[in-house]
Amino acid sequence: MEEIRAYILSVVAAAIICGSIRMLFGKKGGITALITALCGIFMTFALISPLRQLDFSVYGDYFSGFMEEAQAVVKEGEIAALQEQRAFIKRETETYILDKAVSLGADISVAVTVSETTPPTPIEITVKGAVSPYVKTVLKDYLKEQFGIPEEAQKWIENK
Amino acid sequence: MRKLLIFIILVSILTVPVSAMEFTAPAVPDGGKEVMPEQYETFGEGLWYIIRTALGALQPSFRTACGVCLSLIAVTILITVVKGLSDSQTQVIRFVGAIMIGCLLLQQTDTFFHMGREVITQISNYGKLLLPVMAASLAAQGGVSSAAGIYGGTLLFDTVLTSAVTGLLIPLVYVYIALSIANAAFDNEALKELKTFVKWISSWVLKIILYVFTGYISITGVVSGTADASAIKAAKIAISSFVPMVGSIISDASESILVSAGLMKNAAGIYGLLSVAAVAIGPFLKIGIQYVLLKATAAVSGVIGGKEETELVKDFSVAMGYLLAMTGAVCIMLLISIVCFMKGVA
Repeated sequence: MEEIRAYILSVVAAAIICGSIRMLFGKKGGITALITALCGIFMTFALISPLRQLDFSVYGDYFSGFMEEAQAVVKEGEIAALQEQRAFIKRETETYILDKAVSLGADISVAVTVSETTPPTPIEITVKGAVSPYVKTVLKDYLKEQFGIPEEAQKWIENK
Repeated sequence: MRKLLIFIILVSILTVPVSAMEFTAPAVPDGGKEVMPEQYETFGEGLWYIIRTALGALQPSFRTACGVCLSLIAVTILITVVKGLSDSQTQVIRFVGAIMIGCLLLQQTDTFFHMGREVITQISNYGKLLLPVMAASLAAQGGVSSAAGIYGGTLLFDTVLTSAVTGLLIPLVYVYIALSIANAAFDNEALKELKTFVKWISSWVLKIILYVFTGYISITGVVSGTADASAIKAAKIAISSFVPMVGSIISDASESILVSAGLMKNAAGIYGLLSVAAVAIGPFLKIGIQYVLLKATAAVSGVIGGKEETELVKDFSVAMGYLLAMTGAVCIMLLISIVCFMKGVA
């Protein structure tokens, strides 16, 4: 912007100088014609010479900086949403499993691990607490069928 | 009893789900604190409070502007009378008249330009704090392309416009005023042409930036919004491929985040809109009053005074008009962006 301002002010200054010189020499006469021609050449030079130095490729880098900043901010928003989603899914999954356990008369605690993918899904579970073999079988099937957590990803710990 | 109360409070805190996601608007800048409402039920209520408070504080500025305009009319009458009494010294009278009017208006104009520059800087800086919040919350809602497009574009155009206003247009308006006074004093065609050129440049730069920005925002809103809506639909279809319980939980999670991000985004957006209004309204009204009164003074001068004095007062009113346009342009740009973010995904 500094360059544009300097350019416009130089054109205005050149015009003022030319106008003042023409005022001094009057409107008629041979010398006036020469002064007019010289002023015309001077004004043309003032108008054109800075334009020859313009390099538009500089503006490409200037513009891309803004989009990079925008992408970074958007990424932060996506990460915040994904974290919130993971926390929600973990919370809800644990609640469902605990409700099922309570309905079977079992007293357990669960910790669900949620994947890093989009959308996040429960991939692992740690169940702590003493349960009967029957309840264990029912819960294992429940976890496999309803949540897609295979037996290999289920960890059962007797002590709560 | 005290222990029971502490226990209840602690349990209550533990039962509230802690959200990692929080999008809040930055506090209103200093320039708008006086007129910003502390509480409001709706956007309309908050805006009305701001307008009412700003109008109430306008009286001193109105009196000052009226005083300046009455002085201008008095000077115009004096110049006309002196011109009528003396036929030979018209050039000297014209020169003195131009200087008198210039002296009367320059201080006031300079004060308004400082005020305008400060408002533009405050609004631009506030936008740089608010827009990342709006962009992140729109991205959290699934509007990834829209958020990047609107934020990147606004950042670019705001930087260009603010730089153009503070670095180019305001100095050009000063040049315009100087050329106007010189033209009123000497009546020179070259000065008139230069004045017209400077006026054209100032108007053209502002219009081009705003037109291109409006076009960019409109196109980005449609194109990116459609892309985001398609992506969200595709994600919903993908969710249905999961086992029922997991699919239901993921669907509930997505809805919950959509709603909470949307609520936070809209609350931040409304606060942001009111903050911009609070910062801009006072100076905008003061400059607007000065502009209208100078126009009226030029009309009165046209009836009672000479052509040069009338033209000079008109030129000062044009300068005020440009200042109003520059301040308005920066505000409008930020307001449009905030509304585009609030509109969300198509």
